[in-house]
Parts: sequence; structure tokens; C-alpha cells
Amino acid sequence: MKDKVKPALVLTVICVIASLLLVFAYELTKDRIAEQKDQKFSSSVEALFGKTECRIVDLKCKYDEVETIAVTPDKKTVVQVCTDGYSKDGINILVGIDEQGAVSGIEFVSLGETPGLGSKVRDEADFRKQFYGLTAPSESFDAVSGATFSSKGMKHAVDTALNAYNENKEAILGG
Amino acid sequence: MAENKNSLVKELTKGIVKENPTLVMLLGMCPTLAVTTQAMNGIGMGLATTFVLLGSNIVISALRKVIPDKVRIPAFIVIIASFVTLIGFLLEGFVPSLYDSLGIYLTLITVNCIIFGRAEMFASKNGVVASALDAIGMGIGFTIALFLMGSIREIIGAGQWMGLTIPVIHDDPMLLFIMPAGGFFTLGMIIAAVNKLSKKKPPKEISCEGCPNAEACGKAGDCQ
Amino acid sequence: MKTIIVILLSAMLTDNFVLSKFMGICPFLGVSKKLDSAAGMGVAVTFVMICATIVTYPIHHGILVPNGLEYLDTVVFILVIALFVQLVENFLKKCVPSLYSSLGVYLPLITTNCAVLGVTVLNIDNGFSFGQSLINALGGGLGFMLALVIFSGVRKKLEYADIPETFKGVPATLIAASIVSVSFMGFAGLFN
Repeated sequence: MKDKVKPALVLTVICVIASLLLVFAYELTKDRIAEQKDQKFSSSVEALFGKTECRIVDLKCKYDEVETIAVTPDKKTVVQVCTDGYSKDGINILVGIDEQGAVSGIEFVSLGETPGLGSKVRDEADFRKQFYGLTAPSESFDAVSGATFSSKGMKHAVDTALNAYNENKEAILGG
Repeated sequence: MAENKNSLVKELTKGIVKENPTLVMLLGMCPTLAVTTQAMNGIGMGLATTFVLLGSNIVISALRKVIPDKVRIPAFIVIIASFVTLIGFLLEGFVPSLYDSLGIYLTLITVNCIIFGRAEMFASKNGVVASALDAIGMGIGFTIALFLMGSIREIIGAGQWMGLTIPVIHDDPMLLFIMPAGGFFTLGMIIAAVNKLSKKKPPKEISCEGCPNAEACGKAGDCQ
Repeated sequence: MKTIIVILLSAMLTDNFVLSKFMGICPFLGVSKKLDSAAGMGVAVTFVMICATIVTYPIHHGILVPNGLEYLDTVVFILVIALFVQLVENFLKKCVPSLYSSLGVYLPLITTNCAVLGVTVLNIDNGFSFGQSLINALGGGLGFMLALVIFSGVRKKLEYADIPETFKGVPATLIAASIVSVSFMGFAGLFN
């Protein structure tokens, strides 16, 4: 009897202790993790428009890839889009749209694409420039060779940002 | 005492060259092929794995007399998985770029044969200090192997290395090296080179030594 | 929303677990020498993948998520897989000895197979429904088996080839694997 109980008991104790330790560790680190994400967002906004205030727009947008929409006092808009590239949710970018409704900049919050290949959409400085100045989704675009999925994901993200902006302009800029 | 100290040093250094987990014992192939598209990622993965290896070796060694044989595999697994979850928190909070690059392969450290193998072959049978040194040595060896793989693939496949651009290659790199096929190829070439340099008979097949399932392998008669 | 066919075929071909995702390499290189062991391992892995999905999916969505404990995924999933494999092995040994003698020996190897843990985690990461997760597991297992079986054919040929001493054994196997991987790249344009 003892023979059968002891192993199971030891295993259960180990599992319980491990779980408790992990819960404890999670509580310790979760604030830091949230902080990281906020910091990334605000430093990206700063890279787009310089040190500026921005107000998050409370909007029920029909695109569920749009994470956040924020607007600055001088009517510049930031749309955060998280979409699939080669990997699920691999592309998380901020699309900066100026007061004329044209894309003025793109900053990366996170990129989970293949390093050295898909990551070129961020590392090759010229890639994102092809989207600058657009006020609506473009017909064609240049992909990075060998990184088709990542490139298409980027285009989709920018298109989504522009659509969300154009469809909700009054709500964003009006407030 | 001198003899004791010598053997401890041996535990540390054996993992780096003689018993290098990836290049000699042929363990931990999955991450070796998957995350070595960039040298930096190789280092990151190597260090993360070393953290888990060190933690699990120490805990398993400390508990080795307490864990009954019947449940040792699930027990080891829970301990290893806990450390993997832990390093996940730490990376997500302090080095998010590495966390993003490693992706799912961070979770897969849990089933990295190296960690399991060392737990089974060494930590469960030796003292805490020796186990810790064994972990560090194996971890360093693994990191070196990953760094080597990553460097070769990054240089030839992207014309870059650790943030530096390589002039001639950068304009027209061999993209294939960054792709999965290139991973297999590079590893094959490195192991061939290691065999040549060590001048001993090359291991004919994947070694079952470090694999925790060696008995099952034997039964199947065909781990080779 | 992906259709069933797309999920199945991408798990099997374009995103083959072994040749594209690098999961399950150890058995791929170790157990692919003979056709019957390759096939046997393939079947066993597919079976465990599907069953692991059936168990881990409800645990994740039913227990972990409502309690905000998603980070316990890794520990819970691998524990489930290990216990499940143990259970199946005992069951086969006692009740279906014929099946045990052909498949049972591969089961312990499956616990540490990256592909099995990989598929359970991917089901969650990709946000699949239960049905989609099962298809993904089926495709993953079949893809694994496909890669193994094809490779056993390649290795059979390798045995008769004249290979330089330095490359004998593992290096030649890896280079052959690289060529098979290139051939699978041909499937890349299958879906838009």
C-alpha cells in the first residue's frame, strides 16, 4: 500500500510546490512585463511624432487586429495593429498618420518573424518607406525577397490602419 | 583534496569540448536548427537553456534521494518545465526582444534532450556541486555550438554578423542558409569538421547515451 | 478563418513539423533508418498528438484561462503528455499486447518529442477551435510520418553510397535531410 501511495504523494507535492512557486514568480514579474509593453508603446510614439501627449481613443473598431488608436493634440494619429506575418501575431506595429491622413511613419512594437529573413521588414530601412504618404490602401507593393509572408503581413497591417482611420475619422479627430 | 578539485574541474570542462552536447553527443538538435538564423539568437537560446539546465540539475540532484524511481520522469519534467516557465517570465520582463525572437522554441526548451539527459544520467546520481558544474559546462558547450551555427548561417545567409554588415556578401547573400534546409546543411558540415579535427572514429549514428529513453531504444533495437 | 483543408495541408506540407519547424528531429534522425520503424513511430506520434490535443485543449480553455493561469501551460501540458504516454503504454501492455509489441516501444521516446509538445502549444498560439486543433494535430502527425517515411527511403539509398570517411554517419544524414527539406520548400506557394 505504502509502495503505491508514496510515489504518487511525492509527485503531487512536487507539482503543488512548483505551481505555487510559479504563481509567486508570476505575481512578482507581471508588473514589470506590463511596464515593458507600455514603455515600448510610448517610446514608439515618441519616435514617430517626438515628445508629445497622446490620448487613447475609446473606439469600437470592426477590425480586431487594431489594438489601440491614440491621437495627439495636433491631430496626428497613431494606430497600433497586431497581425500575422509568417508567424501568428508576428507583426505588431504603430502606424503614424499625420493631420492630412497620410502615413508618416511606422514603428515596431514587436516583431516575431524569422530573424535575418522576415525581420528584414524592420531592418531594411527602405522597406517601410514605400508606405509613407499613402492615404488609402495601395494596389501593389514591393515585398522583401524570400520573406513573402512577412511582407504581406506588413502591407495588411498598414492597410488595416488606414481603413480604420478613414472609417472613423470624425470620432478620432473630433474628440 | 587535490584529486577532488581536479575531478570537479573536469565536470565543468567536459561539456565544452570532449562531451559537447550538440556536436559530439548529438543532443538538443531541435533548437540548434531552429534558432540559429542569427548568432545573437544562438547565444540567447544557449544562455536560456543553461539557466534551465543549471536550475533543474541543482534541484533534481538535491532531491535525488527523495524522488521515488517510479515517478522520476514526471517529477523531472515538472521541475524542468517550471524553470522554463520562470526564464520565460524573466525574459518577457527584462529582455523582450529575445523573448520575441525565441518564440515557441523557448517553451520547447522543456523537451530539450540535453536537459532531460543530464538530469537522468548525472544529476540524479551525483551531488549538487558536481551537478551544477556539469550543467554549466554543458550549457557553455551548447551555447558555443549554437553561436557557431548562428554565425555561419547569419554571415553566409544574410551578410551580417552581430550587428555588423559584411560588405561583399551583404549584397547577394545565399538566402538558403537562413532557411530550414540551410540549418540541416550547416550542422552536417560542422559535425563533419568536428569529426575530422578530432581524428577519432566518427559516431556512426545518433548517440543514445544521453537519451533518457536508452532502454526503450534498446528494445526497439533501432534507435540507430 | 482557415478551412480544414488549409490547416491539414499546411501542417503536413508547407509547415511540416520536422522539415520546416524543426520539431521531432531526434526521432527523425534516429528512427528513420528502416521503413517499418519509421512508419511505426509515425503512427504512434500521430496518435499521441491527437490524444494530447483532446486532453490539453479543454484544460487550457476550461481551467487555466478562466483563472488567469495561462502561464502554467508548459508545466501542465508536458505533465499531461508524460502521464498520458505512461497510461497508454500500460494499457497496451495489458490489453492489446500485439499492438504493444509493434508500437509500444516508441511511446517513451514520444514524451520528449518536441513535436508533441509543439503541436499542443501551437493549437493555443494559433487560436484554433477544438475542431481545428484536432485537424492540426492530425496534419502534424501525418506530416511527421511523411517526413520520416520519405527519409527512410533516402537513408536506404545512402547505405549503398560511397561517402568520404569524415562525412560517414550523421553528417551525411543531415545533408540528405537538408536536400529533402529543400524539396518540401516547393510546396510553399500552395496557399495564398
